[in-house]
Amino acid sequence: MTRSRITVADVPALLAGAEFFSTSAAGEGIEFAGFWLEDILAQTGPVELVTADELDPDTFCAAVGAMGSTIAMAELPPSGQEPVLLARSLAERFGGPLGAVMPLNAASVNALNPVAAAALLGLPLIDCDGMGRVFPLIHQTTYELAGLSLSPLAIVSAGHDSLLLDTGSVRAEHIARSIAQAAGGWLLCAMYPTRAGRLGEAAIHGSVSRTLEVGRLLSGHASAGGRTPESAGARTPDSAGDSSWSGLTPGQADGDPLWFSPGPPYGHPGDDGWPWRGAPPHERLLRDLAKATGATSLGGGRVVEIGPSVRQAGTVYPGNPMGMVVHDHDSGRLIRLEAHNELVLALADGALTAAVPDLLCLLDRGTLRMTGPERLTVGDQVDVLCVPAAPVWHSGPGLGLGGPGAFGFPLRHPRQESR
Amino acid sequence: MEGARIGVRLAAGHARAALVVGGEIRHAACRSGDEPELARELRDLARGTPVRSVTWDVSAELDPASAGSPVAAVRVMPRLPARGLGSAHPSPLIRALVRRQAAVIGGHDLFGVELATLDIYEMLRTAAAAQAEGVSALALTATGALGCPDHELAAAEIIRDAFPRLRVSLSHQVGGLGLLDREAATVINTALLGRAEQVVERCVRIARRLGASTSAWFVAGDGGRISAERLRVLPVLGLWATGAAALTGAARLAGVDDAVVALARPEGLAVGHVRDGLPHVATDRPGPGGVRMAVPQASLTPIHGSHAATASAFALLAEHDQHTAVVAVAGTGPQGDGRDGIATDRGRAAAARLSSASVLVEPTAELAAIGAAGTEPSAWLDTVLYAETSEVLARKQAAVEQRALTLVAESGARLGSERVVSSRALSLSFLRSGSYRLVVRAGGRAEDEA
Repeated sequence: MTRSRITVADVPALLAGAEFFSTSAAGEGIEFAGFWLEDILAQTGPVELVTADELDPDTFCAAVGAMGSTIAMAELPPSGQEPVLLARSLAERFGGPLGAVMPLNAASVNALNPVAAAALLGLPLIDCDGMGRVFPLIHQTTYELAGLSLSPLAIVSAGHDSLLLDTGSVRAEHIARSIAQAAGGWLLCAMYPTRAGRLGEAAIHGSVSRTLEVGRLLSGHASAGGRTPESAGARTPDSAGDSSWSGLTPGQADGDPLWFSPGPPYGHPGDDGWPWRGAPPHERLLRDLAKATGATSLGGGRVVEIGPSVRQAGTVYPGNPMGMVVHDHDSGRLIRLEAHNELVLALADGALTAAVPDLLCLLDRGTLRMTGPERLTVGDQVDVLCVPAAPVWHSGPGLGLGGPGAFGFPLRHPRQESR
Repeated sequence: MEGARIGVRLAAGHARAALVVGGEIRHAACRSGDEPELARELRDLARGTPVRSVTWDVSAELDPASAGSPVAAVRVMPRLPARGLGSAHPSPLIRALVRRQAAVIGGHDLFGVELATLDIYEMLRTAAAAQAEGVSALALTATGALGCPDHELAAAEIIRDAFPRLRVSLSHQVGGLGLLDREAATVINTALLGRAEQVVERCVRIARRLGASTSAWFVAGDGGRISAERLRVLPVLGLWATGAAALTGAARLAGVDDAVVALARPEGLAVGHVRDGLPHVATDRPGPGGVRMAVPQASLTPIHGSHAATASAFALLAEHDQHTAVVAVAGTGPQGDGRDGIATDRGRAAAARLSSASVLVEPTAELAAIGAAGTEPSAWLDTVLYAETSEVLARKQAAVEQRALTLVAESGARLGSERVVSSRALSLSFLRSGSYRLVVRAGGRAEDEA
């Protein structure tokens, strides 16, 4: 069987996909991690991406991910020694070395951290994760739902403060969060130590591949210019049978404008802008994202309000609630989005239309990149997308751990309403 | 007080000047290398009217790729990178400017808590090695410097004591969150110190030739103006100022404070926004060589294509914007004025697609020079703070706003005209509740305003 590898060339796509699955609020300002990962992969060579069932069922593995703030990490980047310290900590405890790394979540900066850890440790990366998105707490995972133990939790800070924590999942989250705050704003963690054979029902399989696939789609649109993403080398879902691209290029070369993004969203310094031909390019991108992820558009238009939310912050979660309102051009409806670290709820003219654990994402129409409240100001044009979460999150226990109620909203998820 | 304001753009060996007095605009163009000739042209432009200020757009003179000198870049971090991982900046421009890269133990977190003691001995060894290699300037970037600049200040002091010939730029003075972006800005700033010194001196000398009371100012990339002293220390603030000046000029000539503006150039349109008289800016835009620098610059989106095609695209954007649509011809004519034929045709085509409420601006002088003459003092602060309650947040926010207003006053604002243009406290994700990023923009009316 031919195994996949993640190389330096995959990093821009990984970064773009990581932003998409970060549910907007959590993926901002993670470009630094892309440069860092490229540097690592250039030194170590590619990382082998394997499925859980390709490994010996007894292979010792653990989920790797950062907790804390991406802005703090951008200000205080990792030294590169952190995964080694985590692996050493777990090996001493379990009497044997790690055999593989799995992602805590293949989104935001945590889509990149496990790849970096696998590269630095010389281990394969399992193509799965425990969230399929970003959740604010490290025990909001499918690993937890399947009964895997989060602890012992190995943590290390940018200052190389390290700790192996033996306690329950909720207390581990609380204690580690306090340490993260005191230790520079973020920690790299290794958790859910287990055997590869136990990941069958516990993980969301194919998450890393999916992040890469969506990232290639986004990067392809960004760099395609007047061409389709396929002709620019990007893979798109069912591209072989998609005839809708055929109408986009003929006859447009002379008349239609070239649209340029104002900056390279997923490229490198020195890249040129990206010309676009034809109708507003966000519509084409939305169509392809829908095919790739099952996303639906809740609407799009101008941001008319943004600021602190009127609701009280819960004590369980870090960060503060925020709210924003988008005026949907087509329907005239007002779409209110509630955010708390990431986007949590969408209400259209007061009616709940989408909620966690499903992913809410914002696409900036001007730059064609995923965006969030921190980047946006009143007047910006965005599209609001809803991406269905992995099916396990729509189960009763899944909604209990990651549904609206878990975020302090006394609301039933739209899927519960339809049952 | 009666008087005129002059704006000058220096580029490619030429100076394009615009004098604004009352509602009148005059223009002049000449070679920029001949100082007496340039001063004479500016005096002739004034025709005896007292000139209150000359504001220079020198961004083309500060191209780091051609005008930058090699520097040593020193990061201060609590742990040294393993195997040098992440040490080198990915940008070819930054790599070309950095002759020596080093890391020294030290640094703070975002909120100013010390993470490691500054290794002053290693700092001195690094500075000594840099000087021995013939490097004359050092870019110092400490993690957490916006929360607490103590390690940068301490390092600068011991370096200046031990190596007085070494010039040092400190990242907290450049500003911006994110070590990589702030370091890039600090490296570019450091590399341009020598060049900026020459350019500023020359511009100040020429302004003095126009009269003892004529002041010299410089357009910043955010569309505000800064003093000669500030540009000497922070030349990075003067980069990419031409687009910002052109946006300012377009809004002024259109007589609006808020607008969506299309700058018509021969090669296409560049679309930006003006709010409260100042260009809309962003800190995540690529600057020189595509380098993200964490310093604010006017946000411009280029649209290329045929006249008809770019007109359609801008009409679509304008239709969805609540503010007045302004199309401004931003080309440079053969006489150094604004009468570029292709740009004018493109601008007229764009204006023809808009509603009657829109404004077409066909300036008689170069638009960026007109904008430079009209720039006002401004300031931008981007920082992190912790506030347990909304009352504490309001108090701390007010303190940062006051700092911004002070910077505006130092840039020549008329007493009492300083104002906060925008002040946003953004909750920081995944940090304890009460952690905020605060972005404040302030402006004021210039003392020399006619």
